Amino acid sequence: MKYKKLMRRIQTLFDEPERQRQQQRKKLQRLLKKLRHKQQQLQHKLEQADRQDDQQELRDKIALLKQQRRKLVAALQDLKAGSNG
Amino acid sequence: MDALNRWAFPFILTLLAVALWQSSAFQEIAAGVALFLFGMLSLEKGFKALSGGVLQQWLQRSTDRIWKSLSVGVVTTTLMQSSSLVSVLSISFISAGLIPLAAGLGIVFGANLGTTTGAWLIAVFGLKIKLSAYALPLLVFGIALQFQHRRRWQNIGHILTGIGFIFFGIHLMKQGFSAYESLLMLDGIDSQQWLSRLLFVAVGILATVIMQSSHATLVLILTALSNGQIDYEAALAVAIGANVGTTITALIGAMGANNAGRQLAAGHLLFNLVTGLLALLLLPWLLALTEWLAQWLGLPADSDTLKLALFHTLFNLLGVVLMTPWIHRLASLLQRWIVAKEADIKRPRYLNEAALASPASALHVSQRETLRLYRFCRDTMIHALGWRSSDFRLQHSLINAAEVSDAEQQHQHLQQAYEHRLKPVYSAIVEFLIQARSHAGIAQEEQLRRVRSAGFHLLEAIKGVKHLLDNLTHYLHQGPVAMTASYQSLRTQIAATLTLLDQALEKHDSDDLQLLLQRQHLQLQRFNDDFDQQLELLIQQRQINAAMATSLMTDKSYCLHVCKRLLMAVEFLSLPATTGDPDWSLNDEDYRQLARDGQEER
Repeated sequence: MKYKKLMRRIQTLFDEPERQRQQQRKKLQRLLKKLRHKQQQLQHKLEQADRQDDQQELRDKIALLKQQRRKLVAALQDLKAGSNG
Repeated sequence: MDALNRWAFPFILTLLAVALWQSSAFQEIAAGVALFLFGMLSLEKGFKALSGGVLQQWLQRSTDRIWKSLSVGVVTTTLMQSSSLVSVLSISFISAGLIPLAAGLGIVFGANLGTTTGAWLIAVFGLKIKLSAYALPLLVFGIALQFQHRRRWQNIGHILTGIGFIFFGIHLMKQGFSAYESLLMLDGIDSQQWLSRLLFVAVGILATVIMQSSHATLVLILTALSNGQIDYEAALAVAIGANVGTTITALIGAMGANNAGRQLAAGHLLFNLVTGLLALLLLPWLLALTEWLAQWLGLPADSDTLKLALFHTLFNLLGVVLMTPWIHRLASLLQRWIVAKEADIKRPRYLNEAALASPASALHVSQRETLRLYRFCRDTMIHALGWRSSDFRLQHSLINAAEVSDAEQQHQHLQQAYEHRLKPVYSAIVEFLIQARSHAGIAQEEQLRRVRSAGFHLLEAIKGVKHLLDNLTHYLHQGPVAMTASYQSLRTQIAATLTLLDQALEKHDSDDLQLLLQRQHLQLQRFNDDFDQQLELLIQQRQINAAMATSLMTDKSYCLHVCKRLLMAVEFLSLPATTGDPDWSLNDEDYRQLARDGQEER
């Protein structure tokens, strides 16, 4: 491990707010991945759905997931900006 | 019990004060017992907090096989060194409906066997090693750790302090007994006689009931035995008594428990009584077996303390071996003997004091009770909106099923349901949650807070229906057709939300559930937009007058209020707390935006 990277890790270990930000970031990334997976599943179901009601429900759910992901991406960017600044 | 406490406690205190005043050796023994018990409390506190959900998970997973329950009982009690803690937790789990009675009995039987390891520890290490040398450093480290900010360190601190005090207590007891050498008269009683044996059993029961710890009685008797102040056979009889007396903690715990909890406590008492009785009746044979096994294991011939530990293990093992095959029959017998009273609809069904012993069971029972409150609310709403709940469950045509046209009657019914069914249950939930939160950790406290919020939203939804009722009952049967149709659509919206929530509560995946609830929020937003458009059209076409439009606008917001409160209640009840930023979740502005986008696409 390079010296700078090692120092950064040690610094993070003692910096409580930074550690929390890091945990939040990881949590957000996990959430985003899960939502993306769910969206893909629904997309696949939508392609196979015949009934109009089912199609509408799936379209709504996909739109909700997209909106949720947009919010999470914005939150993640804020966190990254906070860490860098 | 209160009267007993009121009179017995001051009497015991006075007796103790006199004894302490009279004898310095007794002072040392009593201080030793006090420190030992304090150490046990501290150890229990530390273990309880440190093991957190682990102990509870173990207990919950031990439900499918009896051998698993037995092993969990043995292992947890060996690790925690407190059969009382394991029994009380089992009672709380049974009361919460998390484990069946047979599994609970298995755990309790196992705990009886696990607790015998304590006697071994004391006999092997406690009396031979100079414990006071370890006690002080342990106390120093324990206290230092308790000052740490991190909970984990604090809990380790509690455990170390606990062990330190236990060591110190044993040391003081040993000192006290060595000073008492010539004074203690117990060895003068002939332990060969049955009457004296019974007397020693009674002494063991009494000492354990007073100290509420069979460990404390055992350590007392082991130290007395090692100092030669009590006869070997008398010590065995006291150990049998301690085994029976230890059920007192479980019995006290069961007082606040529901029926299932009481059944387990009764099973616990029965097991220990039968085991004690058997041990007493078979004493000569058990003694011979102990001698033979001691020789076979290579225990020193003069070590009565080790033989006592062996005897303790043997008779508990005998009880477990004899009673385990009958565990299911015992469970069904107990269920027949201790029968539940008929459930009173006005009182909470699941909440019970025993469940407060563990935050996990407290959370579970409060969630079940709030789910019951949701069902009351749902039935009350369906009835108030003019349907029969049976029609609603069978999903009959809701539009034409309105029967009641008297608003006053509907109001009265709703008020009665609120006063006699909903409010008492909600108040009981709130009271229970306040008590449960004082024992809970941060994460569980948040979950308990969410359960309380769920109940609050349910009651707010009922209030919304109350406001809606006047105009709704009137216009469903009278007035212009446009008004009837509009009010019909308002109550259908509430029905649709309730139907969706019934489906949602059956979902096991929290992500699916969340998506379902979010979609209903979106549907509500669409309903709001469509309703507003329709309203404008009706005004323009002069199908309704301004006063009617105002009523419709107000009642539409009541209808949305009801639906949103219901959604929030289920959200708080069934979804885990998001520990992250609340800004991450979707809000009204998001739903408005999505509804607009959908409209443009169409």
